[in-house]
Amino acid sequence: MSSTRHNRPGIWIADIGSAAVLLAFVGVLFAADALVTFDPGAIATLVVGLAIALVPAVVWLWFFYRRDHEEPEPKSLVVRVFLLGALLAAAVGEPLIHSLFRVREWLPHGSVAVQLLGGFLVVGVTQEALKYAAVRASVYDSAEFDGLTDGIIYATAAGIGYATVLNVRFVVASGGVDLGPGSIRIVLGVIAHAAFAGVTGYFLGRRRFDRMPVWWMPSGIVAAAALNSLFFVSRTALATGPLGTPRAWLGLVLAVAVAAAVTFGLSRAIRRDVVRLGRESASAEVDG
Amino acid sequence: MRRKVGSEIAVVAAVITLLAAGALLASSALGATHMISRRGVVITVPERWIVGEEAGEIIAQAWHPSLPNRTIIVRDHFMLGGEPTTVVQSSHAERARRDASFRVLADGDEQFAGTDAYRVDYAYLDDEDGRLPVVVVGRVFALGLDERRVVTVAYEAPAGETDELFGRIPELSVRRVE
Repeated sequence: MSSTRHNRPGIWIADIGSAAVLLAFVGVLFAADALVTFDPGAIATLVVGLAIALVPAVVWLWFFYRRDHEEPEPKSLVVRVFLLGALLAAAVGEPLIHSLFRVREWLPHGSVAVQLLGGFLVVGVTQEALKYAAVRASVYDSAEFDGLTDGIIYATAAGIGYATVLNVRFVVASGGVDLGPGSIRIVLGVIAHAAFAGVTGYFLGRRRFDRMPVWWMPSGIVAAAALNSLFFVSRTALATGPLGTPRAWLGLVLAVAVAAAVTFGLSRAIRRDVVRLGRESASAEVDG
Repeated sequence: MRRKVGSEIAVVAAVITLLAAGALLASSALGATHMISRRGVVITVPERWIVGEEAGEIIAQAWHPSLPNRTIIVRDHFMLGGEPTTVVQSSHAERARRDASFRVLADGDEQFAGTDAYRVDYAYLDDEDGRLPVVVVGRVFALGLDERRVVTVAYEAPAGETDELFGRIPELSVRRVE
């Protein structure tokens, strides 16, 4: 049976498992934050912050390799897509968003409608199009891209690469992070960007193995960009309490809920597609 | 093959169209202004600046979003007599009396928002003897409104970031109305 028709449940377990480990990681850092009463100094704070920024990517890759038994993707290819996602974020995405569109100067201060629209048209479209480009320009045409779930796997790798660059930028700009609140922001960003990229990846996988109309792939990027905007506007609203008190953990809850909904939705869609493609293939063999 | 190329063109066209719409939105949001009219003074501040309209002598407070905590304060003073310079000089003398690290760096006449104004640059030093580096730099423009009133526009920012803040001055305008 061709891998195109596999659902590969190990991939979904890897996603859920890595999210669970990352939540535990946030809990440990909150406990550590309460225990650390001394000032570790600027350099140590920065180094620890950078290490925390890299942990989610390492956790996801580790889980992925542990669970992807059925037909493991080449490690070097997954790492290459991750690095390409990171490179496009640093070289194109973030300069475009912050230097050309100057979003910091207008987006956070606009009405909710402006935040949603700007978050979609500028931030969402840029980020999701670049995650798509990272997969499209690297692995999409290779023989290793041989299953419906491969689009999700490689797009998730690109999404995590993109999120890792955002996190490293955040840590460097802040001169380090507070262990508790900082780890929430970092983990939240990775889980959310992986989920958005998963949507684009599903559309990529279908386009690779199915006859889809020309509007199919743009619709995937638009859907991921809309989810991106909706998530970050909701997160900002949720994360600020009625008296301006920070409630960062609510943003993390939202990220986990979005990732769970996306994972559930995509796994159902893939299962349905696998059954349908199997039927079509069987009927073609009978006709042949 | 044709379908594949068509799909790629559709992706590129969609992304370019959406980003162009985003550029229009950004341009419109960046160009919008907020006008405050109070007691014969009209202040125009970019919409994206967070603006607080306050009671008392403070007419407006604004923070540039890319420069949080760098305050721009527009004050409306009643003159007790003399020139706009007198108001600023007496205010700064009071500051220096309260805080020994306060120093006036330079002063002189200068145009501000198309109006004759008196400009003072000041700084807060890191210690009272002035041996340590400048920590905060400020600039005040004083504009006489009439015989009894003067408006001051003050900018303050940590040293090293003042050039960026001062570079934003043309984005804010203050004018008097009859």
